Amino acid sequence: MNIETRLKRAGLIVALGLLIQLLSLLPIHPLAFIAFVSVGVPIMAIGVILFLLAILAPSSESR
Amino acid sequence: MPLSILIALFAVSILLALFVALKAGATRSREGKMLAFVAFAILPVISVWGGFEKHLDTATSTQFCLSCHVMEDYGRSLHYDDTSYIPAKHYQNNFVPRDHACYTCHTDYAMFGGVKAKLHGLRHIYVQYFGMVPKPADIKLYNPFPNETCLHCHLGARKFEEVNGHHKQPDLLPRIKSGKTSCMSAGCHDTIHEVGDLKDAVMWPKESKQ
Repeated sequence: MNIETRLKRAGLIVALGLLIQLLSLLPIHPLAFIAFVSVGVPIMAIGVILFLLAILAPSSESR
Repeated sequence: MPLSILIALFAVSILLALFVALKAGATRSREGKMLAFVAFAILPVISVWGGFEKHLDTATSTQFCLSCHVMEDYGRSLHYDDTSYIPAKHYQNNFVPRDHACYTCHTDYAMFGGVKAKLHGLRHIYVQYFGMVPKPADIKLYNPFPNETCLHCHLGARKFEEVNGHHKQPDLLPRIKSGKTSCMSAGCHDTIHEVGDLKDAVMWPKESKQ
C-alpha cells in the first residue's frame, strides 16, 4: 500500500472520529459523553496513529 | 470555549482532514506534509481537548443531571412552594446558580471533589443501563451530606453566624463548623428533596408541576 492510500485511509478515519465527536456535543445527555469518549476519541486516535505510521514507516513502493 | 466556536473548530478539522485525505497527492510537497500533519494530528488533538472540556462543563448543568428519568422528581422538588425545603429555597432564591444547581451542592470542594463527582456519574450511567434503577424516593447519598458543602458559601455570612438557631447552645456554632453536628440534623435543616411529598405539593411557579 503506498503512502497516499495510507494517508487517505488515515484521514477518513480521523474525519469519522471527529464527526462522531461533533455530533456528541449536540445533545445534553450522559450517553453523549460516553459516545465522545468511547467511540469518537478511539476512532480518531486510530486515524492519527495510522497517519503517524504512514509517514514514519517506509511504504511498500520504497522497498 | 463557546459551543459555536467549538462546532466551527470541529467543522474546520473535519473538512481539512477530508480535503487532505482526498487530495493525498498534495502531501508530496513539504507544505503538503505540513498541512497533513496539521489536519491529521494538530487540529484533531485541539478539537478533542475542546470537546472534552465542553462535555465536562455540560456535565455540571442541571439539565444534564435531570436528563435521566430517575432524577426528574428531584428536579421537580426544586419547585416546592415552601421554603422549608432546602433545595427549593436555594434554587428559587438564586442561592445556587439555577443552571448548575445539582452540581453546586452535590460535589465537594476538596481537591478531587470534581473527579469524585464524575466517577460517581459514570457509576450512575452503569446502573441506569445495566443495573437495577432504584425508585426516586429510595435514592440515597453515598455519604452523609458534608457540612463543608454548606459552609463553602455560608461560612462567615452574617445570617449564618448570627441567626438565633445557631446559638441555641453555646457550642453549637463551633460544632457545626467542625462538622460534629450536621446542618441536616433532626430539627435543623432536615427537609431536603423529600420527593415523596411531590404528589400533593404546591409548586412554584404554578406551571412547573406539569
